[in-house]
This record gives sequence, structure tokens and C-alpha cells, in this order.
Amino acid sequence: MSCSEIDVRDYFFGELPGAEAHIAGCPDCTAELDLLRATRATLLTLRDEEPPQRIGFVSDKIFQPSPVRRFFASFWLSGARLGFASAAMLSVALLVFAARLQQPKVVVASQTQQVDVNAVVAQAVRAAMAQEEKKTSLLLEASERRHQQKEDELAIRVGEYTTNLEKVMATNTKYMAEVGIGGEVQQ
Amino acid sequence: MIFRAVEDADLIVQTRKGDVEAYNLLISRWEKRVFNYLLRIVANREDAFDLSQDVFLKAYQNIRKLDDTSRFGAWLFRIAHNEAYSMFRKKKPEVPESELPERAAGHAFPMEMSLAVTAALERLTPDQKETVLLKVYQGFKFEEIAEILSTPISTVKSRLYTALDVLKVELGTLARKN
Repeated sequence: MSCSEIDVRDYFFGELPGAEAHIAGCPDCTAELDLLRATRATLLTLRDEEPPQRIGFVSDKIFQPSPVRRFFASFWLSGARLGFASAAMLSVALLVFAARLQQPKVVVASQTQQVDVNAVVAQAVRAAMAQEEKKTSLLLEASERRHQQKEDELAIRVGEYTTNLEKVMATNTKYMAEVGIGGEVQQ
Repeated sequence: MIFRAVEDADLIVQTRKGDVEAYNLLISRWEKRVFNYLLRIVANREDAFDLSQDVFLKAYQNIRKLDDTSRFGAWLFRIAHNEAYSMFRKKKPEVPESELPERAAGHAFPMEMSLAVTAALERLTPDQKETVLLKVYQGFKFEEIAEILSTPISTVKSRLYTALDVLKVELGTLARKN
């Protein structure tokens, strides 16, 4: 380095922003920068090689998720099962409402008190039903959201996998054609 | 349906849940870089491939220990670095200077250029060479290289700049001609 003001190597590696003005007016720095760029360009003529094989792993029981987790994973990926679960949840909610409505009430009271009690019970039942309906609806919404999210993720992964597979197949086909396996040797 | 790019971080999360296919996808994104990095360190395709497999196996076994998924690249290359030097300690004899490839002279064709670059890299110390590989070929930041090599950033810069001084001399004429 013949210029003592800045280290042009720092600028070359993006560590010294704002040094353009100095470099533009300094012949030593300009020459050094040109040499660094040429050296890097020469280094990059060394091309990357393809690995001899693709690296891949198959599932191993040690690292598999637990059966419970696998069940839930497969459950949320199945639309039919999710629909069945939603229907079952709704049925259970309806049964709970029905059971609550049919419970006998033992009331010993005067005629006036009876009217008040009936009104209070009717109000309580309405409130309970509204609460249960809200709860069920929230549960259903959450289930549907999770299901949609899983479907989206699966589609993305399938897309990625297919693209990757196509690339590998293209490379293999090209390689096979080059070495003369399974087709004509390129002239 | 909403489409979005699957990030390495997503694949790491899936891998941690035991999804091997997600990990295979992650491998497909990194295997060429890791293989070439190892190839330039060990200078043997078979060893580089064996080491690459070891690297990805080790990464899989330890992926739950990775704190910051955005630093997966540096973490993976740290494993690769450790594996390569572990192999060196086990088997690599010193290569005598006389066995290094001859320097190319005059105008170079692509193959000659590659040989000249390989020869120039071989004239660096192993530490300098690895720093050049990580910076110039893999594009890591100084901070990431320091993490991979367990070395202060100042040392990384010193090694790289010294290496560049050597490479400028070795390749300068060639670079200007080409």
C-alpha cells in the first residue's frame, strides 16, 4: 500500500463506505483497487464442481417424532378428518346444550316467584347457549386456519421438491448424454 | 392459497420436528457450496464428498443446538471446518513444495488459468487459504468468518490481506493478460 490515508483493501471488501472520492483522485489507490479486482476475477475463474452424488438422508426412528405428534401431523393434513372432527365437535356441543335444557329444576316457590325464576333460568340458558356457540365457532375457525396453513406449507414444499428434482434429472440427463449412457454421445 | 419462498429457517424448524424431507431440501441448497469448500481444502473429491456427508449428518444431529437459525450458513461451515481439520489431524501428510503444481506462465486458457489459481492458492498457508475461500468464494462477512474459524476479526483481516498480497504477485500478471 503506497497511500497512507486509507486502506483500499477495506474499501474493496465493503468495510470502508464513502471512500470513493479519495480513490477517484488518488492514482495509487485506483491502481491498487484495479489490481485487487483483477485478482479476485482471476480467483473466481476457478469454477465450482458438482458433488459426485446427491446427499440425502432417510428417516431414522431415533429422530422420528413421537407417534402422538405424527398422528396430529397427519390429522391436520387430512381435510376429511378435519371435517369429521368439526362435525363431532358440533354434535358434542349440541348434546351438551340439550342435556342442560332437560335438567329438572326443583323449585318450591310462590306463583310470583315462579315467574321470576323462569325468567332468570331462561336468561341463564340463553347466555350459556350464546357462550357455547361462540366457543364452538372460535374452535372451528382456529381449526380451519391451521388446516389451511398446513395445506399452504405442503404445496410450497411439493413445489420446491419438484423443482429440485427437475434440476437433478436435467443434470443427470446431461451427464449421461456426455458420457454416452442411455443415449447418443454428443459430437 | 398464498405462496411464499421457503426460507432456510422454515426448513430448520421442520427438521427439528423430525421432517427428514425438509432437511434433504436444506441439504440440496448447501451441498455444492460445502462440497467445493471442502474440496479446495482437502484437494480430493472422494474425501471432500465423504466429509460433506459427515458434515450434514453432524448438522442434523445437532440442529437443535443452533440458537439463531439465520446463522445456519456460518454454523454449517464451522462444522465443515472442524471436520476437515479433524481429518487432517488423522491422516494428511505434509505436501512437499516440489510436489505443488507448476505455475502457469504467459496467456492462460481456462484450464491453465484454473491450474494457476489452484497453484497460487497452494502457496498460501492453510489459514490464509481458508480465509480466502470463505471470503472470496463463499462470500461470508468478516464477522461470520471469525465465528467459523473461532478467531478474532482482526486476525481474519490480517490473514486475508496477507494472502491477497501473495495472490496479487502470483496472479497479477495473469489477471492483467486475461
